[in-house]
Amino acid sequence: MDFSGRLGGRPRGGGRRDVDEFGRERRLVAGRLGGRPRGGGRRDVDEFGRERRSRPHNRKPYERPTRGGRGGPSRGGQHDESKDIETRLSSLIIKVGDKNTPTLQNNLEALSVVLEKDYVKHETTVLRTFRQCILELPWKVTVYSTLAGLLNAKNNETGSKVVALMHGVLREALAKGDWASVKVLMRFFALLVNTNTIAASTLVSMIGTFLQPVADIDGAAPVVSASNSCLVFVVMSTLLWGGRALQDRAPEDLERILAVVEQYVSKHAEANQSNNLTTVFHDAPPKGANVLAYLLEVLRAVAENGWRIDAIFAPYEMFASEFAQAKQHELPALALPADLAPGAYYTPSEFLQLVPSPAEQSVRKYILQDFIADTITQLEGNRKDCAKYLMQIHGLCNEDVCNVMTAMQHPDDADLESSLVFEYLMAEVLFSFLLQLPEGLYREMYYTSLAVELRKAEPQILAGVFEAVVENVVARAQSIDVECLNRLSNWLAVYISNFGFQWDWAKWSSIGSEPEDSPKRCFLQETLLKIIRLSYLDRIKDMLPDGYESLVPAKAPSHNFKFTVQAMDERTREVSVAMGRCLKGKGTVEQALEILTEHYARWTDVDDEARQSLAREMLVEHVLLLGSKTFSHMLNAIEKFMPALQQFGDTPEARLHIAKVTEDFWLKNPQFFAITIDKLVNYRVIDPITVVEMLFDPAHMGTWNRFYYWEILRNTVNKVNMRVVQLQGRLEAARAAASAMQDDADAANGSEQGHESIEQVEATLGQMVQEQRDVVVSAARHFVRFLASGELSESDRAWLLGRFKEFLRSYRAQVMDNAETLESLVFAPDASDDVRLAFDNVRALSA
Amino acid sequence: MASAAPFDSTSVLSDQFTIVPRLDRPSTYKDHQYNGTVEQWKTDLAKTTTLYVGNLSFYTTEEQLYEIFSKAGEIKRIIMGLARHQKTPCGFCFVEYYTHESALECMKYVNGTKLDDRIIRTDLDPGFKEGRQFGRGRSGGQVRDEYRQEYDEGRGGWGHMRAKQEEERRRQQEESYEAIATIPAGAELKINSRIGGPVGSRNTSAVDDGDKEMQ
Repeated sequence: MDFSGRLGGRPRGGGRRDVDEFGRERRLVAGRLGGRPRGGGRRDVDEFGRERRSRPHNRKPYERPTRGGRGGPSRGGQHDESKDIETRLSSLIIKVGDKNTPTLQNNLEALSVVLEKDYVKHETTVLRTFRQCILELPWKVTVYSTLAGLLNAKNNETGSKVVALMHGVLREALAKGDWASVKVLMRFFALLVNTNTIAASTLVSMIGTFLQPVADIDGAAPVVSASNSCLVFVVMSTLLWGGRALQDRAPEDLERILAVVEQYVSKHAEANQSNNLTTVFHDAPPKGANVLAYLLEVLRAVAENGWRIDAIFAPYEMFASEFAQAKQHELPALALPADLAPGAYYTPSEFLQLVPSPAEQSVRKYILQDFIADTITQLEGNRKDCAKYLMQIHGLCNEDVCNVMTAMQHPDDADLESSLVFEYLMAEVLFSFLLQLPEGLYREMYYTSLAVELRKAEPQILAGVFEAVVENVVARAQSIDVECLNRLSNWLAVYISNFGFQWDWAKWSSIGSEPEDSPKRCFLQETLLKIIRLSYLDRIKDMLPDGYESLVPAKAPSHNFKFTVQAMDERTREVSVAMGRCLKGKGTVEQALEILTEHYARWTDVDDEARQSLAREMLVEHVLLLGSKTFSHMLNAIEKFMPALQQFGDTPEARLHIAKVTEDFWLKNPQFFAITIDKLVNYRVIDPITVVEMLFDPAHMGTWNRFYYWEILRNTVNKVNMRVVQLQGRLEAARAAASAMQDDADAANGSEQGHESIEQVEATLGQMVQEQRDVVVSAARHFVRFLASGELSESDRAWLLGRFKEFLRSYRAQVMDNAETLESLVFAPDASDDVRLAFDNVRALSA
Repeated sequence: MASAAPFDSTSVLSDQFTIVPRLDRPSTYKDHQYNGTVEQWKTDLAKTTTLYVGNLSFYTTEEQLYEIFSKAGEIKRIIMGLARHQKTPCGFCFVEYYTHESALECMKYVNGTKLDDRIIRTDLDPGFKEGRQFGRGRSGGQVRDEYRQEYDEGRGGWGHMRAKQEEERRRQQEESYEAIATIPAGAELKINSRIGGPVGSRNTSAVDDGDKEMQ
């Protein structure tokens, strides 16, 4: 905050006089607000989110006003004075404490004076800005808790309003199951004890609410579950910041809380001892696998240091005398959400160790990475600003806590062994989120485009940092979880496609000589395939150095139409030519069917079944050829010939045949294969179970390392799950509509209709749930069978086992819904031990 | 100890204010051919599954679009924007998802990233209507390519107006230009100095005469 220089020189007591007249303060601030407001609502960015510079095309006739439409403040000439003041007030709150400077103390003091004075006039602005600062700028929590304390010390009523508001926000976050916000808010309340704004006993009772389900009731041991782990994690995060105050003011309570936490963590560790279902790196020391145990270690280390956290500047220490006179506020009791699904709880995430770091700095490292993680989570709505703010987090660090790289520095020159390097801490958190198992809080694409923004913000530094971290992970490809390797591949393809495909390709050229299904080679090959999907083959080929010939396809992806130059007998050619002419000439479905019937009727030497099969293949090949130009052509072709295709897909075997013909047609274009299968399911030409059967075709043994099979499996299961969820929604809506109608006595007819539709929806939902069950059970059966068969090579089996684990943990809810059926499969006498273990693990995971 | 004052939660608790503006909000653009009120436009956008996608290269394929846009959710269809007369891609498209959430996630994660080395721009759109797949510029392409002054390889070179001008220049030049047979020697500095240039006995090498000097 650069107004420090101006206010900084003034004696503390003088602050009040300086701002007696608001005009003076405003003038003081106006100059610097004239620049780019970093946090304000108005953004000086163009339509692509780039900072607006004087580019010629900014003056185009088609140019749009800035995003949000709020033009510059001086436009229109007439100012809304009060709005202006509010914008400035807001901006002051947002910017305070951006840096740990010697003047921060004065800034806080001055700001609290301004706020205290203007609070009544601009209550809403102050409160909502304050609320968002806590939620959106989580790394400045020490600053905002101090500011809240100062406000409270100056004016008890204002303090009461702030505390009550934040407590309301906390209650709301709890009710919604927004655990990330709950964690951030609880940290704020923990720090409020230091400023005498709330009593230690208030914090203790808040923590008590979280520990209620965990606490030892009547001597019974606590139950290890997803919800309890989440609650304990929140409590530990709170203790990290509240421990100091509690030790001073409520040491017995602190000890009691710690005992409960320790008991739970040891139970949790016991229960998860052999659980490697969500382990990212199988070569990592066990420490990383259990984040609760690790956090407890951090807590113990902090406790030993007198609960002092020295990584981040804590301004409240400088206002002890003011806080001593402050009045504390009581708060109403919190309530935990009663009806959240197990999946709605926050999975505490570990921070992966991807680069070396000094072991004696592990507490500081955790504190910083925790802030980085909270910021990434809380600013998900705007990755561009998130990237900018992330680069500021170290601004509040105490001296010597971490190094920040400079553009001149080569990433390899950073001394990671002896000090913490901020950029690497950030990269580790980003990749920890990307690789989080069973799944991250947000889509993978968030962590991809966030990385793109970070690199755009600091091109010289972060390009090297990301490259170094990715290389480290790929070097451990042998022991990384299969799904994680797949995610990293997706990430890398999109990431480098945003930077002209620049990468140190030469470094990896020796991978081309590794065995065909080695993890490293598969990773590289699949990544290149994805890059080609995002671009085109020639472009990528030209860019690759020698040694890559065996890693990219020789030819651009294409179809594999069966009835072309291949040796065909005369009568097959006749049908094919007739079909081709008919479809190309925009012939109707009936005409096409007629051609098939007419021709194959003459084939009296083959039986009905074989004729049907031949006709089916002919139809599917030609429909696919008709649609082979683009995605839209494919949709059109399938849409148009849907009745014929459905007619030919009248049995499970027939549908499997259609799927296999499709696979053969797109043998050299996995992307189109996946798309076509997807759309055939959408148009109900084949059903989801067909896709599962097709994927587990024994012909695919030896190629389980290919990523696109599993892309197709995921797409299919996701689709089935989505249909169930949508139908459940429709059913609820139909029920609500029906009951509303029943209330309305006049609409007797309508009520009947509503009733009918409820039954319809219920019936469809029943079918869908059955379909879901079939898909999950069938996929699991195939997995177990292949893994037990002994027919797979060791490496092929490892790939398949990895995908089995992915399947179990991704669809654990559906797996547990069918636990009994699956158990009888998994615990069949011939099933293997690792399969059983995986199943036991998924049970523990979904407890 | 004072009890915290009761707080009117409806005013501040529920407002949508954020410090960091969210990226999943529509821009202020409103299609002037949209058939409805501003309010309707807004309600349409609040539940839409469709995005307008701009700044594409003319050569970007549907499959490339599918690859990047499916990162935000399952795609229902893609409608390529075409030049009205030639029926060739003219640098925009509509992407329709199955859910509104996918459209929002696309705004957050895909908007502003690069495809085919170009930064693509997405905006929430009330939904595709027949006819909207065609460019609205006078030449059949997009309006932005009508007036564009820069050369853009991915979007057909010069903007349409500029292309016409360039074409006209080329035509005029071809008509009037006659290649020269002998290259003139040019006046020596000594002679040139009579009209006020620097007087000096230093030789001509001080003046860069390019290739002539080498001969």
